[in-house]
Amino acid sequence: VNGLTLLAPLGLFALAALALPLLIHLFSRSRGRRVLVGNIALYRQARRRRVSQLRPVQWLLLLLRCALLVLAALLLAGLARKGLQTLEGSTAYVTPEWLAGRQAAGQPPDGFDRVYLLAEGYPPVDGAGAITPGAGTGAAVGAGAWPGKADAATATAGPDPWSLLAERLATVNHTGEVHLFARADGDQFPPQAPALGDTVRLHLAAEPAAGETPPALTVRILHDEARTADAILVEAALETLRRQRGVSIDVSRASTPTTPSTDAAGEPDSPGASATAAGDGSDGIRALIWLGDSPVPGSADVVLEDRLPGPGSPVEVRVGDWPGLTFRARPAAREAGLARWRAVNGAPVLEEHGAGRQRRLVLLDRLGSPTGDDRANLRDALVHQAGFPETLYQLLLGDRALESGLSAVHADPSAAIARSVPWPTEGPARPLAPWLALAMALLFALERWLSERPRASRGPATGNDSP
Amino acid sequence: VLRALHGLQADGGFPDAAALQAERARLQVPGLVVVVSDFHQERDEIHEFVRRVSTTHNEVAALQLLCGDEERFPWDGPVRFEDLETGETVLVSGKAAREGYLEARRGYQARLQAALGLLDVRLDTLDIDAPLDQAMATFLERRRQRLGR
Repeated sequence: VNGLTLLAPLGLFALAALALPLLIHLFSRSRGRRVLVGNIALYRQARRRRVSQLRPVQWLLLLLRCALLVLAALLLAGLARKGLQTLEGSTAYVTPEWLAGRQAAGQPPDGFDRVYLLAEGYPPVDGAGAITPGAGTGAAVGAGAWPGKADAATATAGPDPWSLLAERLATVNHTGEVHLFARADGDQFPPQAPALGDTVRLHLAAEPAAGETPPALTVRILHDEARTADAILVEAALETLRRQRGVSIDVSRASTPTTPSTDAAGEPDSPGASATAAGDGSDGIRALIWLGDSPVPGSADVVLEDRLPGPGSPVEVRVGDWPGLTFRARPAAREAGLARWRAVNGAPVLEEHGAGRQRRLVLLDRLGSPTGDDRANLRDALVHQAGFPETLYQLLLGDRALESGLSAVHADPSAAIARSVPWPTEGPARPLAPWLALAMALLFALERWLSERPRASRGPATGNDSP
Repeated sequence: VLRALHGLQADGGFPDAAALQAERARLQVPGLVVVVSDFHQERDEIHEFVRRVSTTHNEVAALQLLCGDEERFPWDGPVRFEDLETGETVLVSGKAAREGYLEARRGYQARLQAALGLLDVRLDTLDIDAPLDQAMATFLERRRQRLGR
């Protein structure tokens, strides 16, 4: 039944008890001792009178007793109402981004019994598109809960709209239609979305304008043998983004075709090959991800933007098959940068140094192949996060590119739904045991009254035989 | 009379009108007519016979033979009642049908007594489970008291 669930379905086996009186009745129906009588009319009349006189009461008693058994079975089966709350009628949920766009167009959502903002606290949205303040409604319209604009750098895993809606569906029983209003772009679709099921109707705003295409990203991953696992993880994450997001990412990986040469003190050697960066003239972003235990000046692992200028003696890193490109890593003192990523224990994992084209991201530890408990925690905090590919992408794009790019990246809803992951559909429930017990008590009292009521209240005999 | 009654073998159904005509012819002289029966009739044959023999010069004594099971209906569980004369069977639950049977029986008995009373016939019942001499003594004593002798 819609809105109801059974916490212990095996309790329904108690319904088998209903078959017992029926089986006893059928079994004994064909039997009976034989008694010879002189006037069968009295017995025929007694049976007829019994049936006609007792039909309403006996049938009612039978129904009451069956109902008692059914209630007992439901009590054992843990009958409960779904959700902590029940919402009648049609319900619409809008993402903050969708609502911001609609408000700008002067078209607040209408035609629904209620509209909620898909943010923490689920604040209601009135017919004018205004949000009614409520507990936990800190989300402002236009600032998505999914790590996007504001949280791109820190990439803390916050609740995305899909997860919020999945949680809402699991905790609140919607008896009517549920509609989700979102934008068909990257902000609205996390890499792995909870499956919402067929009960939710999607309403997606138009695709982003052509000018909002995110910049192309060209990534070359170099690594030594010890960091192969990390390199594979990063490559897989970027490939996942390219495949699922539809964004332009050209990623390739090579195992140290050219090892940066430095001396033990961190002073760079003279570049053996000083191939200059051959810009391809596009507006895309090129990045080198160096993953190696061999000493790259200034840090163990670096993510570098291309054509890194600067004083000093840069270390030139020739990228073997990358056409005409040489990346230069500038040795730098190990100074603390802006922590963009932290492990669960709070230790910085990835730091950002500089800005713009000189931006350098320094990964302070390995991504995979942990060797100890702390490393395991670190891995769990980074690689196993559902948003790891997204976060890596945002880090590579940088804040400015992200502002104009990722939030407007078109996402294919069907692909997003296809890759949605199972989500627990059984949420909390409100047990109906007290009500069932009360109903059983009332029915039992009625049954006792009907079966034990004074015989004088029964109707007079209506025999029609005459001597 | 008792010896004659004891020698009788009951079988078949109630005699038809032609068979009873000869017997009624012997009752033209004043006398006492004793009708011994269970007074269960298929149509109205016993009542009709009593009506015919109950004349101004005859006194009719009706003796209804009953057994304890008929009065108490001690049956429990499924019971299949079978009519001695017609063979018809009725399957009932003894406990469930007891009340209905007893009510039907009380009504039947009341209507039987009323019908015979209109013919000025007194109905006496005899328990066939009791010794016959005791039953007859009881009957005669009640008759003596009624006649005020």
